[in-house]
Amino acid sequence: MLRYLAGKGFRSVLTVFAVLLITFVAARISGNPFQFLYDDGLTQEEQAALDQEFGLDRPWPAQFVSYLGQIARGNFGRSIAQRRPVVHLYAEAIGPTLRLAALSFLATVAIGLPLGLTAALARHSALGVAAMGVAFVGYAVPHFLLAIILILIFSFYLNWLPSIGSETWWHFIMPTITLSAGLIAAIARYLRGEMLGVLSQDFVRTARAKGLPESMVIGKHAVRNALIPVITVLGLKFNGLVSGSLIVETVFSFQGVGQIFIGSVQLRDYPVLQFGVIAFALTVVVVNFLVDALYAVVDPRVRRSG
Amino acid sequence: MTAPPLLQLRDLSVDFSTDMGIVHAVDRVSFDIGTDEIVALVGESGSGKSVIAQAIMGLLGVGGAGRNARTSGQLRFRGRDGAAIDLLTLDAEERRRLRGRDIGMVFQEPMTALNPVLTVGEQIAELLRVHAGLTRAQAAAEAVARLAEVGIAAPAERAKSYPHQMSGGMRQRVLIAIAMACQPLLLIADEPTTALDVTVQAQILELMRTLKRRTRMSVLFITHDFGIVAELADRVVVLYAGRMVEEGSATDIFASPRHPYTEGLLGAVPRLDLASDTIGAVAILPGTAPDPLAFPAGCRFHPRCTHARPGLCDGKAPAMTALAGARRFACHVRASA
Ligand SMILES: Nc1ncnc2c1ncn2[C@@H]1O[C@H](COP(=O)(O)OP(=O)(O)OP(=O)(O)O)[C@@H](O)[C@H]1O
Ligand SMILES: [Mg+2]
Repeated sequence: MLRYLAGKGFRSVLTVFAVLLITFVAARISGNPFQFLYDDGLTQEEQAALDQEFGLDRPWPAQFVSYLGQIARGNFGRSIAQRRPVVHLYAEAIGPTLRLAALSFLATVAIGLPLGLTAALARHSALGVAAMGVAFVGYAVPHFLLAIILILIFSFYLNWLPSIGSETWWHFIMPTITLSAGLIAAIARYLRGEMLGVLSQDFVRTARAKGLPESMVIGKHAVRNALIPVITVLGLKFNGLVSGSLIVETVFSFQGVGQIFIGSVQLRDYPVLQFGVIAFALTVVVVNFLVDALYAVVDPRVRRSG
Repeated sequence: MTAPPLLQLRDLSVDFSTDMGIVHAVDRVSFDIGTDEIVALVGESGSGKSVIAQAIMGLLGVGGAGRNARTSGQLRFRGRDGAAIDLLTLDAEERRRLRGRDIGMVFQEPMTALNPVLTVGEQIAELLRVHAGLTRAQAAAEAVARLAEVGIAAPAERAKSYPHQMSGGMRQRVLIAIAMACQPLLLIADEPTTALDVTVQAQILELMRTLKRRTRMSVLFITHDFGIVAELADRVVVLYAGRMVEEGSATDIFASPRHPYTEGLLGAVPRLDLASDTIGAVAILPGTAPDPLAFPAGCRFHPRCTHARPGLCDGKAPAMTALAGARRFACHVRASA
């Protein structure tokens, strides 16, 4: 297990490094930040002075090596556009983003799992079919389309919910729905399939033959086994959640890290852009790690092997 | 054996409605399981043995499995208080409380019959908490004792193991410990050794014999292996295509089978301490088991029977002919012989 985790850790570091390298080069190929910051143009001298101030006058490999050295010391540099530490920019914006992520995760677990269970246990009734119908719609509709539909209905026609900003809890309702709908649907569908498979297994029959109450047969014996593969799917889907949150934050004009990140892409604000990429990649890596660890907790067969 | 029977099956029938039609999987089966008696239920694959077991357990129609089943007849069960009740008249909750407590069951597949994510100790302990109301600590301690009882070495450590860490034979011991945990009055063993290799098979049979002797419970042992029947059973019930064809003491059945099907099954047993001339003409069973959706009219065995007489065996279903010593068989030809 430890060897397995160490190997996985090494691969993850490599991945983050590769992603950073690609971003570093691609950003510099696509343009210089000062062209975007000063759109009435700069003189040769002004441009050279700015390049020097931010160390952009050196060759790319030298820039990359010194950047690595800086971040190894925990220094992620200053924003070129705002001339403030990158970390501060993100720290100020992280609140709404974390809140949205937490709400979406909660919604996924609190709605997706019961929906999938209902669909499996009530599969012969209208309720189960309805649960699956809901899940299918959530699965098929892409983020941006769902966001637009929600905004049209609840902001434009009904005028119930604000469609822009992230100041109050009301602001979080539509973004959370948008972001979690696909996940809820995926989890529900997957759990349903797993439950149906598990329910026909021999050990469930054994549990019934023991005279356990049906609530225990389902809740203790069946669900635990059905959840194991669902955890993996949750982990995989999380990667989609990260990119999905960028879209959702943009559509709903959130003052979150998504806005900072998208802004940095538009302005070629290299340090901000690079930090964003590292942070997103690390988040994905950490979550996948947690999923693996959780997997080992719930599935004793993984614990000893691997 | 003058004590009243523990369980009396009376005209037990189970029909399944399927997309292709109705399967009469069990048709008016009647026999007794005495106190402290081992009854072997024998028959080819598909003859309805497991369905009878599930009907006794009350597992048909529980949680979606066998939703399509219709059960009729009577299952008169003498509970711990000595009063006989018809299991089929109980509601789902009452039946659940009997399961695992008064009637235990061991299944054929030890590799898949245990929950992979729970320790074997917990899989025994939960049963004791539910049925005997033990506390968590009491149940855990009791589970270890049960593991020791079924011959598992280092039971305290083993209780903390997961099924995948155990061999098939050990898992079957655990399943027996589960079935026996509440000291049931009746143990149903549905081909408990079929999936095991021969040496382990012998050990498990020995264990079951020992436990049976110690607890004086009744056993319904399902098998299609007459070698096991010879070793274990007091009485034998032979099933063909959902109907009983013969019943009697193990000694009688082996010495002089009456039904041609029983003869055929006995002929298929490789090595038995019987003179070959008692086995009769049918050495190997010719033909294949009938289609459960369209059983033959009359005696269901007649298309495969070398003694079948046209106009007799394909007409009416044969009634049971009773002989001395609680022997019965259902055959037109032999009844008139
Ligand atoms: N839920 C069900 N729906 C429809 N038919 C069923 C169902 N369960 C069992 N049957 C049918 O009932 C018949 C008897 O099956 P059963 O499992 O009792 O056979 P068996 O004697 O135990 O055979 P084996 O030795 O293979 O275990 C078979 O024809 C089977 O197809
Ligand atoms: Mg069977």
